[in-house]
Amino acid sequence: MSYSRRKFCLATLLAGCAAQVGRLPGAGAAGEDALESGLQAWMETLYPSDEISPGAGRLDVHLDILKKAKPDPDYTGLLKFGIRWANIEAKKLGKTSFAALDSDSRESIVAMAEANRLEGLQGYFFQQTRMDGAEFYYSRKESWAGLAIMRPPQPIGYPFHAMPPQ
Amino acid sequence: MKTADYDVVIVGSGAGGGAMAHAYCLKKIRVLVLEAGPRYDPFKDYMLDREDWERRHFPFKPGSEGQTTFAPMQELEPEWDDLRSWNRAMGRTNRKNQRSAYKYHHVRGVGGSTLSFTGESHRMHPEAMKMRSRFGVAADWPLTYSDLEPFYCEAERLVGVAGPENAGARWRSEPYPLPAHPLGYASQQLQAAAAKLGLEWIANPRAALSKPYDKRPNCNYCANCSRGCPRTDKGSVDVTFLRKAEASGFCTIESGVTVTRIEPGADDRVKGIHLVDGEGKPRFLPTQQLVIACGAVETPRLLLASANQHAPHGLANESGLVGRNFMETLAWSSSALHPEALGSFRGLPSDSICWNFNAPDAVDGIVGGCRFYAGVLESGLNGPIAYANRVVGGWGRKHKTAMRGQFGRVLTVAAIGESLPDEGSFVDLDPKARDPHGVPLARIHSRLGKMELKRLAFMAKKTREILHAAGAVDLVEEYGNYDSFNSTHVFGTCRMGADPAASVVDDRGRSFRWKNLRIMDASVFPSSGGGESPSLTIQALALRSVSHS
Repeated sequence: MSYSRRKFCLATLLAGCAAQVGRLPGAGAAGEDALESGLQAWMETLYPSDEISPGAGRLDVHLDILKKAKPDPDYTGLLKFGIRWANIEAKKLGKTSFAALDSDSRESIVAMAEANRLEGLQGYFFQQTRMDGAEFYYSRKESWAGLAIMRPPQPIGYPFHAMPPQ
Repeated sequence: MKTADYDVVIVGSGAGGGAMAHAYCLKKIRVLVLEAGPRYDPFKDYMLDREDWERRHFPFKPGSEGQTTFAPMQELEPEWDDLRSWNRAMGRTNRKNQRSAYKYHHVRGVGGSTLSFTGESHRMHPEAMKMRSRFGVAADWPLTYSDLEPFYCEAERLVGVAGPENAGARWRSEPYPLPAHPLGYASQQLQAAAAKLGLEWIANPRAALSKPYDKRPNCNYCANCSRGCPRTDKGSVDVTFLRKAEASGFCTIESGVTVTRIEPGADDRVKGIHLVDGEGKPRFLPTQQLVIACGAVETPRLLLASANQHAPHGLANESGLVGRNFMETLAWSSSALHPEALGSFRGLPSDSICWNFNAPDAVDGIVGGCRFYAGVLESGLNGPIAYANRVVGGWGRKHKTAMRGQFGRVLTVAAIGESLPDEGSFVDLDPKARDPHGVPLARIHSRLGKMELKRLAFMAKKTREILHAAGAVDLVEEYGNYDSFNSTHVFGTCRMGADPAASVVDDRGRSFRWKNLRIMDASVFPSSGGGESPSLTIQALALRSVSHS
């Protein structure tokens, strides 16, 4: 889906659900630090570090997404909503924030958002961060470890393209 | 810009404009080429050496994309649900019950849309040039394959086309200037699969050098022709026709110049053109000879926007056909995971092709042919972002494990087929939307008729069969134009012909009425062909047009 289409869908959803954001229990202005740390934890959950490659949180993909969202109040609003909602769910699990949870608990909250991916703001937050996260994460060569791609296409190209990959 | 300095003014610098410029320069005719978009520097502008290359796509600059609007598209019917587009990560890509207007793909720039083209270099099938007299559809070309053949050879030499020895129905008077590229490893699987089905899968003729040629290096198979070629091995118009035209000393190219209107005069001659120059100043440039080469959407737009008391229905629109007979890209692709790690992100996009169903009567019950080709790179499945968002989906550790297991395993069979004119498919001027210069935007009306849908269904069925025969049974994505208008190749809106009442220009692109006006782009095509890419035919037509001047 092109970004312009995403933008349209986002504006439509937010316009319809703005009231939901204000009615969230404990909803207050999410400080920038809280948004940043929360989104970093969220991205690290979507694309986690493992034995082979670092995750999206460690590679600061959340900063790319925040930078992309900065000129777009709707997108920034969606990110704030998503992290605020994740923090509220984290409190139900006895922690102060999503970022403070262990990985299993974080995954359970992401799974809840994924279950709503075709409706509701949580689902849209999940979709957008997953797709934009993939774009920024896989634009970093550190993420390519374990994949068959090792470098950008130029200047070397693929001179052995006619043979099975090594 | 002084008119006295030029014999011919050409508007548009793509396949048609570039080839016309070169041909005129060979005759020492002074040419001014006006291009609305910017120049591109292949050694600086294309970003395939960057870490974030896959996000970058083709580097559109300010002014390198025009605007178009769309009329409402047709409703989608349950009968054709099998032709809906989808992918594993997202599900259906159009969730509504109305065809969506996605995009008319083009580039405004010196070299036109060839800057981002893949570079397939196809000749028309000889039998596809008589669609009206043979099948009662579209219109006959006012020339034959034999008339055009020498100019195909000339264009192929100028571009440096690499092609196979087996010419099939497209007979040749001389061999390709360069040998065919080797098939990539993934395409070799398709070739073997096609053979099991009795189909011939061969090297695709390509405007990409298989050896160093004409001071340009050979291709290094980086898999990303559509992102722009930083090596100049891709035969886009800027590094071929226009490079030679400028080197001749007879050609001046001005970029960032927008022609807003042509001025028809009282004597059946065009007086000149109104334009906005590179500094944003409106000017009038008298023209002796004028060539319009802006493509099948922008050329009719300019002609219709140039109506005045001498041409009340638009310039060169005496037949009423300017903007009519719009034909679009009719495409389908099926992608599936192959059990083997193929490294399918490598190689030359569209390196191989099957012409078995390309003749206009090749498929029972369907008028108009199609061709099948190796489509994984053309589909953009050549990097990890595309795999993550279209093939693998998911998140977390499972996602990363799946990415490592699946990256480079997708095999795609794609197809492009004939597009027939339809009363509901045309280009007109949007009654409301205008560009920054106040010129109405082109509005595209598109309707796919029953024959198109039957052809698409055949294309879908056959792509799946070939994939299955290749052992790639796990479908991950299918995409077609049934539920989305998404076109690069567009044709027909200023069709050529022998009868002024039924065409806009003659076989050399000359307006029947306006003595100093020619049109030379795919708008002149009377029929689209069975899926052939049009750039080589446009170039051959252009060379022929000037050779007879």
